[in-house]
Amino acid sequence: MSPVPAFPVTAFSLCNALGATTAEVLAGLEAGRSGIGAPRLELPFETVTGNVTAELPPPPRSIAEHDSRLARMALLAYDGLAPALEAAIRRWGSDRVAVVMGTSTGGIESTEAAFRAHRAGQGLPPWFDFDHQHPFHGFAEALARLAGARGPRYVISTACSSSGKTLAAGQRLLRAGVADAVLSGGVDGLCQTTLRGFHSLSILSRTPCRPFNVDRDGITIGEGAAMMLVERRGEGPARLLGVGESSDAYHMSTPDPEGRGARAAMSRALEQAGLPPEAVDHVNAHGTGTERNDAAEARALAELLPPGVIVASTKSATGHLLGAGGTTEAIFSIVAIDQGWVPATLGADPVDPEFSIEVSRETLRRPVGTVLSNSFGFGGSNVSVLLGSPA
Amino acid sequence: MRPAHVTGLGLWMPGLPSVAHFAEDREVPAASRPSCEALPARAKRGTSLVTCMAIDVASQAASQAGASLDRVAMVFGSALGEVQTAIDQMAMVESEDGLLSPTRFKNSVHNTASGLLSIASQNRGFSTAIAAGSETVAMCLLEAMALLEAEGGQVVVALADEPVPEPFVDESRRYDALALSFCLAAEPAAAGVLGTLEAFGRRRFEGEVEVPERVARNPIAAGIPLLRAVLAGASGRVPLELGAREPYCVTLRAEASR
Repeated sequence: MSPVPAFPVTAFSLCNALGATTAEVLAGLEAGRSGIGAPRLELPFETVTGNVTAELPPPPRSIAEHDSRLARMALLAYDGLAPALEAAIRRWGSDRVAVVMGTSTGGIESTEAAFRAHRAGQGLPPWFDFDHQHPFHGFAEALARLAGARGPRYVISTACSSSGKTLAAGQRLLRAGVADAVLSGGVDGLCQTTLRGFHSLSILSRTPCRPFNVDRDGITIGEGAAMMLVERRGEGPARLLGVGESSDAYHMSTPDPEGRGARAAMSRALEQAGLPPEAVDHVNAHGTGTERNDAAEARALAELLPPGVIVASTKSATGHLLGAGGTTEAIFSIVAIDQGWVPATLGADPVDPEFSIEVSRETLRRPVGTVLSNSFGFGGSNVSVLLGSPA
Repeated sequence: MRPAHVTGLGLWMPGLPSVAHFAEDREVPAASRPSCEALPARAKRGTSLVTCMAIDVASQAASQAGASLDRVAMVFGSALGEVQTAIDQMAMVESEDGLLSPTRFKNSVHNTASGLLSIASQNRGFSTAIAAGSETVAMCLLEAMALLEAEGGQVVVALADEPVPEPFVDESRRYDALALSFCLAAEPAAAGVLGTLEAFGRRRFEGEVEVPERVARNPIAAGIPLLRAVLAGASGRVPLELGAREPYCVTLRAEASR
């Protein structure tokens, strides 16, 4: 297989529990701070969450019908790269700019509130607009309209791999000549369904998650948005070298303990780039902090990569951002390349002695050339994104 | 983008459990739920109508195309996905204990059909799940055609939407369940080619399309004109969105060999 073209990442932006702007998030991550705290939703059990605490302004009047917390978080992240997207539209033409977003929940938090009001005998609230707030694609449509991007626009919803897979879809649209620039990314918010659902599976931790720790006891859910502009040509801090996708074919909510799907996704990303495993300097792991995910992923990493590759999970800083996680962590990988530091895996110490991987316990300053960023989701949906330094 | 060959079709709607039943307008009143034979009985229990429909039509198209379910790439599309399960879970949240069923929860994701079929068929390859409102059919075909351009092989595109439940249904969203599928191939398949798709893009379209009234508002009905055109051996521009002035379209070229 000959390598696929590498495309420059020309802009990125994100918000989550670490901050409202990219600069705040990165400063918090570099300082080894966690944004996890008491949940902003009322729940009948004990847990912690990664909350976006910033004020979320309502959308402009032109897209007011899309107003929801999800859309507001998307717009907060969008603000950080709007000038770059506008420049891309001027450069390539509005029909040549695609918007491919990921989410696992869509606008369900708004629908939950509307449903609650209806159950209380109040009818559906006047602010609720099912067609624009509930569907998965609603916020992507709002973003595209706001930006004036008229190329293809759609949402990928494959649970926690969603926004990682938007980078694969975007790469294919560029390769197929359908688009010249793609706004990829993801958004997910906290909602009762997600939190109570993970609780029902007994994988929600009561304390901030501890990825790869010998005593890890589950995940911490977070919320946020992350976006990345990938163009056919241009200047940027990193290049998208490859994306591998696979299915576990094992279980809806439990990873294959042998890590075959995870390994296949990473191998395919490397194949696309024509690079050997030895080229990888750092992995931003899926690293949820559950017993089974971390064991399966550690096994896949140890089998594929040579010893010494630094593995980090940032979920103990942000929470598990579900459909926004893939792009969030791909951005952290770009920053590792661009600024030369690997984030700490908060709470990882003591690392499970069964794992033959090297986990970052603190922020590590070192040159980083090539990074794999993993995201694995329900349904056994796996994606691994390979990013490298600019040409 | 390179042309893509249509090598298989599938359809399910209440009373019309296959493409043949649809083409002949031969109603089977007892067909109230798809057989979904690709799933073992245990996996089928607790799955939603939209998941069963999607898996059923995916299997229909793959079977006609001679594509093996353990290898073929899969693109699942639905505008609203597991909407009934989502509302059921909201009712559970509002119940006395407020707890959810773990089985319902893990089958509530948009990629439930993708996950269950990959597990049942032991397919470790590409699978995805897309939503794009009224453009869901178009965007799923685009994803499939771009994947074929990049990777070759065959892709099953399985599209399904179930009725919107109370209290969110109103006249604009009242429709029957509907699922459609297309198996696309980069190269002509041994099992034959039903037509070839090319020139995907937004185009003006002012022709008439015929869609059964009871599914006309279902977002997946946007795929019926293409399915009808393939069945008719027609050539020409086909819209992939209903009622839009400038919808995404493909040009269908009938195959002389069909």
